[in-house]
Amino acid sequence: MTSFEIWDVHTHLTGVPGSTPEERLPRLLEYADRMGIAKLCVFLGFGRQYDPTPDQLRQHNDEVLRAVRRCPDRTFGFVYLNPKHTQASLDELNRCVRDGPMVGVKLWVAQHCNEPTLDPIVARATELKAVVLQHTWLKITGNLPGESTPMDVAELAARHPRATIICAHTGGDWERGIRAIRPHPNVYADIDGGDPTSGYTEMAVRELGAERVLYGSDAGGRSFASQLAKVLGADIPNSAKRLVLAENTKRILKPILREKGINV
Amino acid sequence: MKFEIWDVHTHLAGVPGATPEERLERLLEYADRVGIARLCVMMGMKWNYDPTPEFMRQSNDEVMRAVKRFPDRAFGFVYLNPKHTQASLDELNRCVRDGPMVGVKLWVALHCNDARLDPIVERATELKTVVTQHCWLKITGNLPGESTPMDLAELAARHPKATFSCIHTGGDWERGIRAIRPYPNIYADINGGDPTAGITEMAVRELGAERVLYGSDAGGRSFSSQLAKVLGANIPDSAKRLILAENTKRILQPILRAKGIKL
Repeated sequence: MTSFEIWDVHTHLTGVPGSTPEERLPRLLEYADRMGIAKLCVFLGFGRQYDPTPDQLRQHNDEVLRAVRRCPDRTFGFVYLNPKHTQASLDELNRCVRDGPMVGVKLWVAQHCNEPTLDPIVARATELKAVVLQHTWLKITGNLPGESTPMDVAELAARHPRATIICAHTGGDWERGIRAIRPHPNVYADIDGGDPTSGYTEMAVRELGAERVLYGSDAGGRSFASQLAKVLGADIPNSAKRLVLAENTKRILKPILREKGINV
Repeated sequence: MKFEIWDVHTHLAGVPGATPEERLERLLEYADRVGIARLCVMMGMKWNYDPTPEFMRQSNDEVMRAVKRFPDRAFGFVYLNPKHTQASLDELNRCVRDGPMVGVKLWVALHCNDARLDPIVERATELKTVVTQHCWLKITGNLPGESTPMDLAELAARHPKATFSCIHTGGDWERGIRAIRPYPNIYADINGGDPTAGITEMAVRELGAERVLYGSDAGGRSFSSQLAKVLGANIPDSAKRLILAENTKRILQPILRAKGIKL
């Protein structure tokens, strides 16, 4: 098997053993080392608040900040925001990205991402050169009240053509998700989570181009190994695997990393 | 970390191609993506739960055609049906004693604790071949002749000198591993099913790394998802080396040596 450089665009501190953020991130890196993963993007703290208060946001982000400060050469933090609290989110973005070490934004299930309340957040993130990663799913049993779909992401991306937006999980139902984001070149497909189904990576590469597909795992919720299988076993050229496994994530993080004086 | 990989469990079914040769070529193309050196291949282009003697011969002919095309990459296992004891013994002689095959595959025709398996297992052991038995524990009920790891444990107790592999480790591996644990001549083939964290770790803890075999069930499952069970497992690299190739090599060594195949 060809050896690839691997950056994981989507990991968490939840589902990993350890009583402190500083304990959990080294455990996650220990698992990553089994698969030869060089760098991890990390977001969300210990709790699983769907609709966090400003206080909870700060707590989440403080936990991630503590963790990434412990392993600065291997990990990048993304700031967890809640667009229902627009000003608190903007303050948190400034605190963690402008004034702190974080390099991206994570939005989860508090509010559908086509809401105008996201606009000032995406505009500010773009000024700061931070990427915006939005959880998406298309659930046959019905989404959570504020849970975004790839179609919501497409609307947001159309309003913000200069922002870099990551469609996390590619909607879960990726055959629909890939098509929903296809017209918007500033939306990247993060293929993390779910079972390692053959065809997922192949379709994303075919429909979006390998430049728009990002490997992520959702670890500790999913194993690195099972998620990597989607890319390593895919019927795509090694040049595409190289893009998906590390080069694309590097490229979209490069502007903010350069800004922060981090060479990669 | 780079490992040598032998896959103890693959099929020609579920792979595109009009001939056995074309299918094995495609399977090897998939295997190459994840660096797998050798494949054990069993069963022909079509499934049959309860094959007639004629169907068995056809199935085994297809596998022999395929492995003869890629002798350096693939080993054939002979598909038998213990309900047809004499036909199975004849097929064993034809494909293993007189042909290139190196193992026995038993599927779901008959529960493997049945006495009709005894002459087959004895002959396989004389020929130094391993006997691999499909095993599953289905919450919705097994097929009428579908074996469980508990059935295999009974068979192994009657044949302590035979070498068995418990295919799929029963699917419900937390029970399957425990059922085969007392029998050192049963190996756990962890192929098939979803790549659940913990299967490889539990198999190694309960059986020892020497008794665990990597297999995929390709084309029914992908190589990469099944390899993930071992590559991502919380076990030392020395254990991964055993599971990914060394154990399969070791149990095939007697018959490979008898056939003059050097590794």
